[in-house]
Order: sequence, then structure tokens, then C-alpha cells
Amino acid sequence: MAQSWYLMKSPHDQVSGFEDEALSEFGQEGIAEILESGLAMDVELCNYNLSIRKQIRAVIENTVQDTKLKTLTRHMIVPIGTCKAGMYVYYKNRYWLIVGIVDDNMVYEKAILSICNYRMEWINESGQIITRWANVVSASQYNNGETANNNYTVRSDQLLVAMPDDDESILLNSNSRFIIDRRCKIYERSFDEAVTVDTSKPVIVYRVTRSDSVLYDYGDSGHSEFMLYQTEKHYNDGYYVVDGQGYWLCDIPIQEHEPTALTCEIHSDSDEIYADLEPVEFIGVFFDADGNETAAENIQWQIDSEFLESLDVDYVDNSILVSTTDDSIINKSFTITLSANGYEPVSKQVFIREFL
Amino acid sequence: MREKTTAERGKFKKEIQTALYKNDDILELILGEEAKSMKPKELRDAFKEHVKSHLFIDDTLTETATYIFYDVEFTELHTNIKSCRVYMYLICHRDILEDYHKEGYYGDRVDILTQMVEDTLIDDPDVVRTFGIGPLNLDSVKPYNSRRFYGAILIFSVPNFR
Repeated sequence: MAQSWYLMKSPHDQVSGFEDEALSEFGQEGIAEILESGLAMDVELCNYNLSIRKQIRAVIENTVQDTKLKTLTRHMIVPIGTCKAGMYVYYKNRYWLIVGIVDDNMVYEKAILSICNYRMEWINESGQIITRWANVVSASQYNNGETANNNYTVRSDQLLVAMPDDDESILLNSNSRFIIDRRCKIYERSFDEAVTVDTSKPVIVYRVTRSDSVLYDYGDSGHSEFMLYQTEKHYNDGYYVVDGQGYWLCDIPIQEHEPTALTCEIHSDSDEIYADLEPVEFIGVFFDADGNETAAENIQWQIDSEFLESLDVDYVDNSILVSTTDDSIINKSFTITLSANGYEPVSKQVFIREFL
Repeated sequence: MREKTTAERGKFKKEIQTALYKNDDILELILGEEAKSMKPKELRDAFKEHVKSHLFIDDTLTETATYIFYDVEFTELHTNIKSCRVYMYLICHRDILEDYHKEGYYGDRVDILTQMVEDTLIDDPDVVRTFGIGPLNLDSVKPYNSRRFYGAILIFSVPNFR
């Protein structure tokens, strides 16, 4: 019976001969009617960087699922020609990425939506900060593209990331690194407004080991996927505020105003220590990326000297106090180095003088 | 390596300078009350402006202030015995000579400074120990008189100090 319903090319002696067009037109009218009904809902269709957003009506299917994995995908029914792979759909306060070719049945088109569960943040080659919502799933059961598993496989922490196939995503280099860690949001809550840089927090960092720019390229649309492998956190990986917006980045962002790096200085009223006199205080002063004085953690002082045993050294807060009573080291010098987590070390040469 | 005989002269000056610097009364007399609030480097620099390890040349100073000039002489140099003499000029501008008073001390500013230096170099056991060259004897105190400045010349001796 169903076969006779869908028999489009029916003999002219039986029907009028325009059923094919009629079905298509009536079908599209029908879907338009459905979209106006309570079956459909308002969603936003967004481009790759969310700069263009358009509210549309769509029927979202598969909202009620029986398995955990299926809850991470949806089907979206919209009029023909509405969307393409690689677009975002903002639905129920979440971003969803359209994956797979979007095609139609002459009545409507259906897109497969994959949940975006993390916003990737990185700095591109020209120093711009790029953000993309991404579908991040565990890929620990897959090979990372670097090592063959001829003998056995030791599983490690790998992620498979799907993002739009815009230029920034495709141009990501192997070894590009990302912070992907839910704890970042918790850390952010503990920052006060004055914090512009914080690289002290333990975060999980991944690097790109395999990038697939072709596998999901459909000519006029598509999305990109790449494999990430957990790697070590570098000292400058962390939280940076750029133009009032906080980002978790694996590189120090280039800002228009200097200085751009975390720096520290050794302040003292003299670079000379007088034998038998009071200690000279060397104070560690730390600056954030904006050049504002800030506090640092894990402050370390190092003294490079051939006569360390002749020096009396005390540590008080950010300071080191050095004195000596040994006349034999008069007119000799030593080097004092200040460092802290995330800061460029700085050194100063200090001379021992007699007080004359 | 044999220690150079002449090295003792510089070391001796350093001990004298350091001992005088550590006396808060001398600092106050020379630099005023503000010496107590100066940062260490300011204090050291100001002190060095007023305490010099060489002898005084009249008319080279015009500032209304108090100075200490000293020098060291080796009067005898033998293999095992050295005799040392210290000349110390305590010089004060006449305009401020009589405007300083301190409990426990007598006389004008130069007289008070003379007593303080004696306290420091002879009576302070800690200072005597830091010299490491034996006790100093104050042999004489003579007046110094010039057009703008008045002072006292103290001569110390350290016989057979090494």
C-alpha cells in the first residue's frame, strides 16, 4: 500500500500527471505549517564565530533518549536551504554543532546536531585570540596519530574535538596547545577584579597530534576534527585578561600596550653591601602583563657566589637581606636572582665593599 | 701568601669608619635628628660626606656642619712588630659650635664629639674586639683653630699591634 502512495511517476491515464510537483510544494507548505505550530521552537542559527545569529523556527527531534550517548545528539528539521554543516545552533542555552551533510527529502532538510561542551580558546599565528565552541569527546581508545600500536596499546588521555571548518580551525598547527579543564570556571570564581594574569593554577593541557581537515569537508560546508593528546603545562599557561575578557591560554597574549610579559624586578637602595654594617634588603617586586604591581607565588631567591658561607642571609616576605662580617670578601661580588612561578627571572650583581 | 704590610692601613681605616658609623650619638651629632629617619643608603651616604679617611685641608669646606677627618700612620714597621698612630680631626663650623647639648656630655659640640669618639674607639668593648689589633691609647687632644672651623685633634696610638 505504501508503495502506491509514493509512486510519483504514475501513468497519465490514471492521474493528472502533476503529483510530483504537488507533493513537493504541498510538502514544503506542510513543513512551514508545522514550524508555525507548537511542534517547532525558536532556535538561533549561528556562524562559526557567532558573529552572525539568525532566529529560525525548527523542529528538534530526539530530545528524549534512552542512552547516554544519544542524549548528546539531536536532529533538527528546518525548511530546505536553511543550514549547513559547521554552523552552530543555539538551542536551550547550549551551542550545538551541525555535523555531517545536511540534505533534504524535497520536503524538509534535517541536520544532525552534536553538543558543544567546551569553548576552545587559543592564539592564532597573527596573535589574535580565537574562541570556538567545540564538541569534545574522549578518544582514548583511538590511536593518536603519532604512535603505532604494533605490539600493544597503552591508553592515554586523548580527546577528539569537532569544530567548524573555518580558516582558523583548519589552520591550527600540530602541537598547538589548549587548556581544556572544567576547573577553569571554578578558578575564575575565586579571582577578584584586579587579577589580570594567573598562571599558578593547575590546569590540564592538550596538544594537537592529528588534524583532519579533509575527512569532514563537504565542499560547500563541513566541520573539522582533530585529536588532542594530554601534555605538560608550561609555566605561562593560564588565565589572561585581554580587553576586559578572561581567557585560558597556552601562550602569552600579545596586547597592544606594553609590557606584555610577566616581569619582576629586584629593588634595593644599594647594589653594595658594606662589611660589618647592617644588611642590605633586596625586595622582589612583581608586575602583571599590564605593568601593574602584583603578588606572586613561589618566590625564589638564588645566590650565585663562591663565598656563600661568608654571607648572612635572611628571608622576609618578598625580600632577602644580605650582610657579611667577612673582610676577606671585600670588593668581591655575587649574583642574586629572583624568580617566581610564571615570571621571567631577573638577576643583579652585588658587590661587597668596605665602608670608607 | 704573605699579607701586605700596607694592607693593614686600609683595614684599620675601615674598622674606624665602621665603628664611628655604628655610634648613634655620633650620627645624631653630625647629621642631626633626621639621621634617625633616614633610609640606610641615605644615612651611609650622608655619613660618608662628613667622615673622611684622610686629613683635613682648610678652606676646602664651606658648609656649616661637623666633620671627622682621620688618617693612619705606621710609625714603626718590623717583621713582628708594628706601631700605629691614628690622627683624628674633629672639625665643627663656628656657627654651630655652641648650639648642641647632650645629657652626660660636657662642653661645646667639638668637646662632646671628642668624648663620643673616645667612647667608641676606646671604651666600647665590642668595638675594641672588632679591631682585632689591640687596644688604642688616646695620647693627646689638641685644639684646632682656623677661620671658619674650630676643632680638636686626637692622636691615638696602637703600640706593637701585630
